[in-house]
Amino acid sequence: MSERSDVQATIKHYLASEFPGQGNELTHDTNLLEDWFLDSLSIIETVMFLETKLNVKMTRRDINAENFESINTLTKFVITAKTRS
Amino acid sequence: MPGLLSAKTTSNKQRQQHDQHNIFVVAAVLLVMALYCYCFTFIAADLGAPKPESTLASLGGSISHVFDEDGNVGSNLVVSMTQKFISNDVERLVLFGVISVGFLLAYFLPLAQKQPALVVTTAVGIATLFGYQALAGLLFSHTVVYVFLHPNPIRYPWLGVFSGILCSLTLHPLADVSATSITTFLLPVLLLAAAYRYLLPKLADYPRLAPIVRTTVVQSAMITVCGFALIEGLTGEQWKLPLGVLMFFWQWERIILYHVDYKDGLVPKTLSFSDYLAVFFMPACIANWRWGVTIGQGYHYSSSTFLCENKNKIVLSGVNILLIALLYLVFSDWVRYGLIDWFERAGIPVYQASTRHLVEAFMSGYTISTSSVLVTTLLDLVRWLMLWGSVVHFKVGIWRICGYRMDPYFDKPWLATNLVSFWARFTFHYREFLVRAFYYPVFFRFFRTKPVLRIFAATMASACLGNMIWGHVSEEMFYRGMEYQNFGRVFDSWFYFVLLGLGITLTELFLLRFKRKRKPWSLDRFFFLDLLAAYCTVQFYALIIIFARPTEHSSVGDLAALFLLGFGIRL
Repeated sequence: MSERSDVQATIKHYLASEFPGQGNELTHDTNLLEDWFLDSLSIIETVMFLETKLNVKMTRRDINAENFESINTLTKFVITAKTRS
Repeated sequence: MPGLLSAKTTSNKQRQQHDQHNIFVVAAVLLVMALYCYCFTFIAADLGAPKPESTLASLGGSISHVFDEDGNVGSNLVVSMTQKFISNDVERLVLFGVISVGFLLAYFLPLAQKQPALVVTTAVGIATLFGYQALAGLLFSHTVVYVFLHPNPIRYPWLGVFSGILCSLTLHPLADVSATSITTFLLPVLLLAAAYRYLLPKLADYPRLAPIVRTTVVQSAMITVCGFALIEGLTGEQWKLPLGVLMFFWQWERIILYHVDYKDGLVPKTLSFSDYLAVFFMPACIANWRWGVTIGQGYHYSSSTFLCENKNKIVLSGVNILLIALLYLVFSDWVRYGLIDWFERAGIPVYQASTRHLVEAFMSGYTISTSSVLVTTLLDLVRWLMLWGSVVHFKVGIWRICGYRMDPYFDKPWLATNLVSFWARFTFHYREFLVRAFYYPVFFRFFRTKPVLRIFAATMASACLGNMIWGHVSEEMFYRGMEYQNFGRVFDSWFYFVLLGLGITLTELFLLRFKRKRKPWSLDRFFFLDLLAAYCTVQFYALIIIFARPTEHSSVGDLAALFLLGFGIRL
């Protein structure tokens, strides 16, 4: 599997197991902000997950709607951030 | 799910596509404004039409605690800090007029002229309601912030002279044409013009000094009020701020958010002066100037929400929230007094639904029951929620009819099933201020490998320290004047901030430990638990307010005894 698919799968597994049963199917394009996260604390939890499990060093600038919109955008962010560091 | 995330940017091309006119939407807004004028001003009497109270009576209705002696609806929507008009009704009429003109200009003008038109309309409204000196003071203060954050003497060669003139108009306008008067007027103009032309460009040569100077300018409100309060404490001499500067200081939290955006690279370095002013000069700011000052947040949020979707959809959502605000404004006192009557008849003293009165009664030695503590604090919170909700809904509604898709400041806090959610629903934009100015800087800097400590430190930095010092100390100084004793007024309620911070921290840690498997208020067998959690959340918040209402002679121990009485523990 490519790095992109790996990251995608890891994030999807995390979101599906940590915030399950939202009444929608979780796809790579599901709008996380509208249809998946329960509250703002979910974002903080996801930040800590990305930092600890995927070794991404995040700053407050990275917490924005562009990055957190979907699994695809999060994956893109993670790969870019890893390259950056 | 609003919150904790910067909004997505919107391009001008997208805004053009969203800028479609619909005459029915315009009519709806004007109708709502007419309704506000009818309810809260003398316009019905002036036009010879029946007053709101008479209209209700002719329909066979009667309702207490809604109407003033003059037959209009009594309102908490006011133009505060102005003494120019003899009646609040006239001020409100001017306010609604300014809002209507602002809306029409923002709706019909071409895209490039919408925000400048809102700035000009607001400026005219401020000059009319507060006087030209207040407008000069406000503009002067913003000019100073702008030139330090976006120095560009080549693009704006006149800005130094302009800010000098504004400074003179604020501090000592020309009283006559004597040589002394003219010299006093011209001196700041010359000094500021020279500083702008020759000193400001030099700042760029000192890359370490420049951010310190910018932060000092942005934090000028806090530095000024604390400095003068300390001077007052030492010398007994009290200083008074010019009205315009005070109005600028009230916008201080939004300026801090602007600065956070600036440091995050979210504000274009070459932003025009007009675009800068668009963040702060909105008709929505004029009503209850001191309330909901964080609505609109910094540059990025307000700019991203401007025409970010179909204009008419945004405007109609504004109409909707303005109507909700109207319901709150009209019926809040009726609901409040109705509840007081109901509980008093049921034999539960509620001390006029005032936590302060409850504390005073407790300190006077009255025997108070647990039910009295619970109900009084809850009713006080209900009173405040309705009052607060009405004004911030109104403000958000005005932002929306002007084209900004603004998140509600106040979003049914009684549906919150935990303290984190309550805080976000009760005071969304202020929570964003605390998160972006205090939570994130701590969260991303300290204890990165220790999640519990990391969340504890970030939450206490925002909900406790930031909230107390940057949120409440400054506010106390703005409200009551720059006096040393005003530090004490806030510090006396320190335990409220500690409990709030601890409560939110523990909630966060609990939610991290025990995963949420369902959305709150789903219609299933756990619905009852949602009800219980919502009550406990609101009641806990209502109870900790006891610590924010100390009397002259109460100690933290006394307040703790009353607080524990709410849990049935009598010490």
